[in-house]
Amino acid sequence: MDEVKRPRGTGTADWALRLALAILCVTALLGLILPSILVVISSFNASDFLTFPPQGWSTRWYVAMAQNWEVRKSALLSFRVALVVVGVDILLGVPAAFPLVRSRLRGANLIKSFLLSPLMLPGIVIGIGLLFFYMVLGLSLSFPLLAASHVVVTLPFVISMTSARLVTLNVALEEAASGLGASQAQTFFHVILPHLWPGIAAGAAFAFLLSFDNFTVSLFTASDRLRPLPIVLFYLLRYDINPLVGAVSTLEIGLALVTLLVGTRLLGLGRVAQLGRRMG
Amino acid sequence: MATRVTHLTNLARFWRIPRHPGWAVAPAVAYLIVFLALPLVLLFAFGLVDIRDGRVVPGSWTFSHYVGVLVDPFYYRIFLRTLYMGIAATVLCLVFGYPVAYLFTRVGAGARKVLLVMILAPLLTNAIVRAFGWMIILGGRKGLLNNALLTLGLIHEPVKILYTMPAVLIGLTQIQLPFMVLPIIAMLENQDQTLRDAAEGLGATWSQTFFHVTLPLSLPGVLTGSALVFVISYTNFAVPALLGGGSFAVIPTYIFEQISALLEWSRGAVLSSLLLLTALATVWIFNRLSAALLPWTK
Repeated sequence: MDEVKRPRGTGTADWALRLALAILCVTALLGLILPSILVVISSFNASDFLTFPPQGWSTRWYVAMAQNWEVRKSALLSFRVALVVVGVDILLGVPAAFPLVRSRLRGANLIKSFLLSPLMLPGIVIGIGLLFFYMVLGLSLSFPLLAASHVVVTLPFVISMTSARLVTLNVALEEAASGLGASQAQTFFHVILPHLWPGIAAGAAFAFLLSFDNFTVSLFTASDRLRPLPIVLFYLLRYDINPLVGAVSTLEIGLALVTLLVGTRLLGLGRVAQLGRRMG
Repeated sequence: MATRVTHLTNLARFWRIPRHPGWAVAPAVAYLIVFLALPLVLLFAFGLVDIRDGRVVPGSWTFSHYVGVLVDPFYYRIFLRTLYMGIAATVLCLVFGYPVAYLFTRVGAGARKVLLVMILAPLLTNAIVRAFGWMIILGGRKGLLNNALLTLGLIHEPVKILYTMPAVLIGLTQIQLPFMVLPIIAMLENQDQTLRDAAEGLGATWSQTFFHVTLPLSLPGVLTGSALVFVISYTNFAVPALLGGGSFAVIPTYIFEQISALLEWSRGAVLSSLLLLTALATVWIFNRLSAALLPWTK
């Protein structure tokens, strides 16, 4: 039998293909992480312009960032918007997860695709639609409207991450609790919530990050006087490279890594990756 | 008698079990009807009416805005350029993403974790931040790439990459890569190892197995990923606006200009509607193809 089985990967074609795949793979992985690494390095660059490699090290851009009134104001605004957004997301998303997972409601799949549809729709179209909507209603762009707009694109995360935990909750546990005389409220707080909270927390963490980072929807639904951080960064970079952005970006990269860490701790890397697949 | 009573109460409990009645989903649905469905309907409607001073002129239904866009060769060219941007980014993502997905399915648990973090971390980073990273690499005379090429003696004059189509494509490929890699990983993971073993047992070389077994069986994942990458690239604003520069015109940047600077609401609405419809049509076709291929891979 040994003569029949050919040794693996001997042909020239095999080696050429393996080499090509390896080169593409290394290039892709470098391309994925190199920009972020360079952003972090450049943020400590002492020289006046973005010279590579840096001529010296300093924290002057962090000082400049902290002293920049516009950046500070917009970061605070983004933070406040994200907090409100997470609150609304939880109030709307957590109850919605129950019928979606549990009931054999007719059209449950249709409702589910509708609730998750913001993940598939282009952000620019959602933003413009909302702008027109507010305009027709005669509303001027404000903090509540900005938060309301962000809820549209972050709600799917709370719903799907809560659902992910709810699927694994055994209905028999709830039956047992109520069978033993627990009230609905007691069952919820002592049985359902302890099982559900990692999903809710992970959903909240991602919703917070996506609201804090949201650019395209804010572009149309934030007024000139209420500019969230990504919009301010965009205008700092629109016609030139501003090194100040490096310091802010480094903090943003840190925030993204922390969120990823929190998400994987709560739900596991595989579940987070599954969500990433649908993220747009 | 007593047993029958407990039996009845159990039955009663059983019927109460979906104690999470359907209406719990109502607030979320209502919210998205108001803040998503209505705005999208308005978006389409705004392309069909006249708007003066930020107000809809009552009873002014017209197709003139659509006709104006559809007969103008200028929009034709921008749409083609946007289409090119979307397709080229999708092809690049496939070429670079497939090997990464393949590698992922062939390594151990530890390496998988590292790979997954490398793939997911950029996904969670702000688009502006990622574009900024490429500005450092590609930008001007002092950028990293020009510096490296000059030092290596490969070029004698700095080349202009930032603020060109290649820069936009590089940025889009990096940002969109995870959307291509993740669905392909899902398909490759479900593949039956015995099929590859059989191919090799029958004397197929490694590359023959790859092209005749592994690759065809992962096509549904490739199509799903391609649909996602295409839509996100085709409708992306941040990357062409920053890496393409101020005068780089694709549909999303052009719409932004029309609406924010020129207050051309009707034209913005028409272009956004066409952008959305063409994007959704593409997704639909790709998903149908993927669904048609799926049973065949089992």
